[in-house]
Amino acid sequence: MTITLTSLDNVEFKVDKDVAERSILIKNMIDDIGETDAPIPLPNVSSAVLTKVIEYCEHHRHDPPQVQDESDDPRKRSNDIEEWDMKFMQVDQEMLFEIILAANYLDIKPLLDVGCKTVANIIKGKTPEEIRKVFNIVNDFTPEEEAQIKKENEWAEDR
Amino acid sequence: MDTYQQDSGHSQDQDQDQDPSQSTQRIEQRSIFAKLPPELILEIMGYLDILAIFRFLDTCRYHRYLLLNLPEAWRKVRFVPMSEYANLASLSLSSSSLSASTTNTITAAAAVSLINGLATESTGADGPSAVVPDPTKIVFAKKRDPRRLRPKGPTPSSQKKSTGARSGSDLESSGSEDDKVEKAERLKHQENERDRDRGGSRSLISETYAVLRRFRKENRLVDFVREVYMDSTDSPQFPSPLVMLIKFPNLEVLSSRYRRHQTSLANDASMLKDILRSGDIVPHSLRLRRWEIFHPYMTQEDIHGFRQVLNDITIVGEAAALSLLEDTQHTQDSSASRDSDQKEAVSMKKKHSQGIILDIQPCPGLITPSSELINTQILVNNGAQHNGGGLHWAPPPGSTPQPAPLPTPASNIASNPPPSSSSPPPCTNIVWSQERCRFCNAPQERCWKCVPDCGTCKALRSPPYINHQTILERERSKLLRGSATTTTTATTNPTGVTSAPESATVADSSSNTTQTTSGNPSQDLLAFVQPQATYPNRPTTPPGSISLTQMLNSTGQIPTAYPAVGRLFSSTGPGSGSRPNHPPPLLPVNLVPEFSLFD
Repeated sequence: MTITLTSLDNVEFKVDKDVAERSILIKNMIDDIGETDAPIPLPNVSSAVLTKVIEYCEHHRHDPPQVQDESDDPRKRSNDIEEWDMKFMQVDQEMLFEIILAANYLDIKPLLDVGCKTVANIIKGKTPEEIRKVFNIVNDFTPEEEAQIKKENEWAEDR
Repeated sequence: MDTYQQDSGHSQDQDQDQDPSQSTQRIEQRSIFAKLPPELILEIMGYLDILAIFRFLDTCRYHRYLLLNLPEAWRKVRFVPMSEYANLASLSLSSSSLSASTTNTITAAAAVSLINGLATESTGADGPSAVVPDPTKIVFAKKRDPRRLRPKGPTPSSQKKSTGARSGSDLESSGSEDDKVEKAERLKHQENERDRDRGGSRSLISETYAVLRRFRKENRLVDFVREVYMDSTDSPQFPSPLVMLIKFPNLEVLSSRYRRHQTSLANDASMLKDILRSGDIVPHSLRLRRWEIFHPYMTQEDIHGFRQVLNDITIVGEAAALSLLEDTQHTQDSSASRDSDQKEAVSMKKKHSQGIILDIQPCPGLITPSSELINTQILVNNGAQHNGGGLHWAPPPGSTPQPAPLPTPASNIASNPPPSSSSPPPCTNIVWSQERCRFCNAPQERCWKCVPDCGTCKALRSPPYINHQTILERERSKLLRGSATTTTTATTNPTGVTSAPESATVADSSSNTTQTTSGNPSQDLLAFVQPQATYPNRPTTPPGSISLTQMLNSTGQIPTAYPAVGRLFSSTGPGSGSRPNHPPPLLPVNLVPEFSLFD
């Protein structure tokens, strides 16, 4: 069965039901309204982002449903990303954050996880200056505050 | 890109007291993170260690505002394992070298100082840190960046010194002083760079202490922390878990696993007793509920004494003591408390107030009922005494497993009568409460020496370290196989065991669920080193152990815990996926393999 999804900019996407149902939001909608030919509007997702999301869902259509780890142990949160997912996430930052937002809206947990891991991996191991550079952030601390930062982190031997 | 604008947390009165032109101060920052709702920010922060979170905090005002208004972001503090930091440091080094052309050279000292935070953290936009600079200020700050990163001249403190020296003396001496300062700075920079090349332990320790300093009562961050994870931080310079215990008053969960060289329950217990005696800790005042302290080489530790002192200092310990007291009263007043309801209530209460939860327990010993009773009795009476190392090869199958007899301390011999010659010596190994079979995920309550086979799948068990490493290896192969499944579909046999595709590098179609022992320990070792069939309920990477990214060395390869057979199954090396005709020489049975990953 094919489902029609309509993006923010009124572009229609026809996808298989099992692909569309990777999104819990869409799955619940289909469960609620039953099988219908009417397009499902997704007013929060642009066509460019929806294309990427559908690409992800098609690739992972056969994946087993993700088991929610209730313990939420931070040690179990590995930052490892599958090779295909890593390549999939090689997009510009705007798109990366749009994908994360879309995954959150559509309730696609694996995609949300991959997106968040990607952002975390970008931050990880970088100095604040490097993070600023990567995310194009302006350093708006005053020189006094910067001096305080420096003071806070001095080694005893440096004083 | 979105521009985030946020009203500062100043009250109107405060603003009126200040310059009227600043009354509409706002945080204006272009940050892509402004797009994300707080729950997604928390999700991202969940993948970061505390050092990275503080680095992110120090990037701009908006990020400070964002994180300091999210108490949940500070609830779980995870310190990065030492091995992981080495990789991160090298990554960071390479990235900074790439950007060196634009920012000139960033001194490690400057980078480290930038990494960490301000002396006074404001919660949210309160205080002067919320004062928003106007756009001209931003431009000014931007222009100043390179100079701020690497001050060419002496530091402000040294400038003061040099000006003082210059005031009444000649220019030559001041020039030479400047040279000296510059030389010292250069030396320091070189030292830091060298340290960074070595894995950055100096930077890591410095940063860790700096981060700990930033958790303070004044900024309330210290009160937000509920859980601290400091696994695999086995360095004498790294702060002790006891520091965390004292530092964070609301700490409920503490995890300090895989700290082999720094873990001594006896020392920790005695130190806690001293602290308790000196009055630095009020009895039954700490909120700690669980302490995870296991490492795979843990033997001869006094769990009983350790638990006792922890119960003395924690609130749950008091509850446990009270429930025990009530229980005793109930048993004395037997006529009144015979009802089943009351009994049930008491047992429920006991269950809920069992005191501090540790992730280690003494092995109950061999399964035979009589010896089990004896062992349990001895362990209860004397606390856990260990004579078995955690790392011995499994005995040949068929033979009765016997704990290795090691000399018992003279004091113990004097105080405790030795068990009768007819009964086997008690097992004194320590078992991880979450120990599981690496094949079928069945929980293991006894040590691998007392029960050499898994009760469920009958596979030969291995010492804890190897057990964990095998699971890690399997996780690695799972990851590689995961990427391979895009082209090859895994097949499932009728038993429900999913066998890996043939193209997978470590998959072996002949592998079985039940491991058959050959009688030769070397072959048995090879057998459990070899990849097994994958199970649907395969255990995940042991909590606290190193992750796959940590396993990657600088060349991008994953070192194996089994050097002798490593090349057989190295999926990243040449000839991966095929087994050589002649197996490589195995480790001698009595040789302790070179384990480097956890240490």
